[in-house]
Amino acid sequence: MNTTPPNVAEVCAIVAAKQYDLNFTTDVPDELKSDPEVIACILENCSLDFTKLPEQAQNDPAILRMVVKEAPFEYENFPEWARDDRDLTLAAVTETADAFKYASERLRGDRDVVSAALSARPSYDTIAFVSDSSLLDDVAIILQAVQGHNQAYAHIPEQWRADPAVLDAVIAMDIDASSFQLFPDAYRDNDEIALKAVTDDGSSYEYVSARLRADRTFALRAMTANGDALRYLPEEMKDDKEVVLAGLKAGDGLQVSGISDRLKSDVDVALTAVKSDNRALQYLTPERRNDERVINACLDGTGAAYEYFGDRFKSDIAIATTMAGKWGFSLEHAPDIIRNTRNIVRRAVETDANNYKFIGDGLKEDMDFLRELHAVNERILYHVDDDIKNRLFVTRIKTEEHRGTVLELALTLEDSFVDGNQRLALGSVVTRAGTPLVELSRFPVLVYEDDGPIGSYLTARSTNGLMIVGDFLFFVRRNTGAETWSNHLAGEKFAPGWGPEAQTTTDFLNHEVYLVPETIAHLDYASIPSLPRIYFGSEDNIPRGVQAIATEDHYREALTALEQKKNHGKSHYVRVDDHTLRVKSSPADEIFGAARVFVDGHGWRFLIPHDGGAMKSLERLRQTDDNDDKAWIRQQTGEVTAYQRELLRRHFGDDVLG
Amino acid sequence: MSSADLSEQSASPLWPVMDGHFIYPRSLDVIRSESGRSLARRLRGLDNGMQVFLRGSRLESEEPFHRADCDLLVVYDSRDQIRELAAVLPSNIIYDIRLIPRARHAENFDVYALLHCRSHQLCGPPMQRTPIAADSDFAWRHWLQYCPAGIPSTLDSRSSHALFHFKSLVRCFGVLSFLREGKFTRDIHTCIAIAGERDPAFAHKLIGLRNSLERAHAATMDVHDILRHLSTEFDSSVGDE
Repeated sequence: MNTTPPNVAEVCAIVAAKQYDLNFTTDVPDELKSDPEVIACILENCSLDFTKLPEQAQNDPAILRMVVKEAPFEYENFPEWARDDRDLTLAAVTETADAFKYASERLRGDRDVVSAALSARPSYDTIAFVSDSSLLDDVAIILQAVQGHNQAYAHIPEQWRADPAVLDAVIAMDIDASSFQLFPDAYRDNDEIALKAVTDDGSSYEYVSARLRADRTFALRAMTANGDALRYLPEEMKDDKEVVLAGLKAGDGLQVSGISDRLKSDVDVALTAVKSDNRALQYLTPERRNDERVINACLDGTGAAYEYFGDRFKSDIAIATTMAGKWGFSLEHAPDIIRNTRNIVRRAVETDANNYKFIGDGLKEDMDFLRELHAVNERILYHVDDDIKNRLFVTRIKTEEHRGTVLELALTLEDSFVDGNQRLALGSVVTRAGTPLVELSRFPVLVYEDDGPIGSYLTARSTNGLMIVGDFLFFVRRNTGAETWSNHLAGEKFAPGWGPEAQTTTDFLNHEVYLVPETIAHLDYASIPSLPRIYFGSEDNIPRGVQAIATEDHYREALTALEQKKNHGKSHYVRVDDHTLRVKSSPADEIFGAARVFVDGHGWRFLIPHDGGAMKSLERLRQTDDNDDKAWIRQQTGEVTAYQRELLRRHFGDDVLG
Repeated sequence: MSSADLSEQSASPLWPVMDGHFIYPRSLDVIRSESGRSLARRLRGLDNGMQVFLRGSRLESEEPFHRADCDLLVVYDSRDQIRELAAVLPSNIIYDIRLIPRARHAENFDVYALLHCRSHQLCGPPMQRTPIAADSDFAWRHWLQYCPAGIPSTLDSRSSHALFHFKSLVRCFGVLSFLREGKFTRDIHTCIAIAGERDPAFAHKLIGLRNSLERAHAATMDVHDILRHLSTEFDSSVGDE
């Protein structure tokens, strides 16, 4: 391994490559953590945590100048002497006024620094941190403050709040209610100034003089200018139809929540409110929520208003159909008749899969309809319970009958693509004449690894499943042998936190073959290691037999066969229907019920049927040799295929059967 | 290699075809990026029998994306060879290396095609390149590799597999381009352009997703319309066996 520490150029290359994924502590060598070029590169490509710099760098004026220009917000972390440095502080406050509060007391009383802070996008309270009272007596400074931020008025010394020049400056900007609140009485009683304040900020209405609050003419003008002020009207005016309508037209229909109960029942008011925002319906009286004119006016808005419709309108098919296609509509508030109407439910689910939770009980039992819903919005699977999922979205992959047995694999292909890096099958079953012999419950057909340099590649580690060979059943874990850099044997994870753990042996590339005795009727994945393992190695010494999914390629082929109307290539599957595949038969390495298998310590052998069962067969194999297998085969009678003859020639090296 | 071949900053993303086979383009005899050439100089002396191939943007582009990985294919016989390689590779580069046992180098069709048609050998005994039939079987095998049937209809950029799904989805358009016009590419940018020719909305969606992935912004993208299109167009482009 290359032990030469990286130089500046190499570190900068790392910085440029990793950008915001850079770990300053581990990626930058200690000896380069104070290097100006490296720091400049970090500032250019990502963000610098000033507190992680060595003390030497934190006190280096050149570095501080660089940082204050590129990352002025770090000024608050500068050492004390730097925050008392005029040039650095001026540079910081010019970029961001927030830096001003961290400057030394001395500099917070420096006119040039104060002026710079108030000039460049000051905060509302920058003025409050000025340390020299003589500056606070200077009208030029005060004017800078109020002209820099429309909320600064509340933070200037009180003696300035009645100054006409200052007030003129505040009024010239957008008047904020927090400022208007503090205006002298005469200003808050001035029609034009008060109207501007309300126009700029509707909540200023709360602070107009008592005279103006009682003035209907002013109220009409204010509502017309800014409907947001409606909520601040005095109570008697909240019952004034003309005033209220002016406010609703100029503002937000939801403001109707604050008006008088009498007006909440007014048709004109109701129509104006819901046309602005149909959710205003919730604040209106029951009479209006059952008013056809008002409901019709709601139909152009969001689906969320449906919740507030009167019952007879909720039950209206045409209305529910219209609203179901709109954002915000929820079947939760719909009557049963709507929740059991197919086209409405379909529209609602298409818009929002959450609506599946509220569909009528009658529809929940209609499997064909649920499939339709899935077709319009796959995300209903997040809400479908497992029982229905198992009944509805199961794909079955079945082998052809082989020596009287059939192997079937059940998968829910449509749900979470990969769950915890496993592609789970609901189960696998081997049957004979329709009677289950062995059932393997919920197991991963595919096991994946997050692979690649950033863990974003999906590499299959193994394909798992039952296999029939002869009269025997096996569980096979077929390793893909895939290996990327993250699995190398250098002893370290390639990129900390990403990818699979580095391996110290090559066991992770091994295949495994287990013998499943006929005495086991129910098998779960966790108990597989307790079965006799006959092979563990990286060579392709896997028996050839009957499987539902043998490799990852087969799995992808199965998915594609189901999805595509047409197929191509030497497909291993025949699409029977939308949810069923049949595995095309292929030769198995077997003869007369004996299975050709590789057994550790014994090589390729024939596992020969035994009256005592599969374990006895294995015991016999370990106690005999190839010649015994050959002798047994020669004793058998029955038809032998050309494939089997060739198999025997390959295995024994001669024509066993003559 | 003529200057005209080098006049472009990047090699053509389309795989050249001659006499019905994909061939290794001579333009890839030259490594276009300086970082790729630097790597080649470093590995030139590695003489332990393993074969190392450079592919991807550091081979094909004069200015690869500054965050691009270094894509290598390594055909090896023993793990000692891998250790020796680890000792000489520069440590300041992020690698995406496929380690291929020599006995299994033909098992993954996608990788096999890259090896023979789209990678530049850096060291080891010269590999005899095999032209690969540019036929519907090539398309089908790549279609299975990308497996659009297995891509979720909603892609979430925050998912650890989002990049994998995105690339698979996009590359399907490269397969369709081959089926329709005989032009195959894996290049993401080109595949997105092909998608845009089908429907500008597809390109818009894919570009948005790509940007979210590159900038690590949270975004979900409903791609069921793209998946449906892929399925339909593939069906109309090939026949039953």
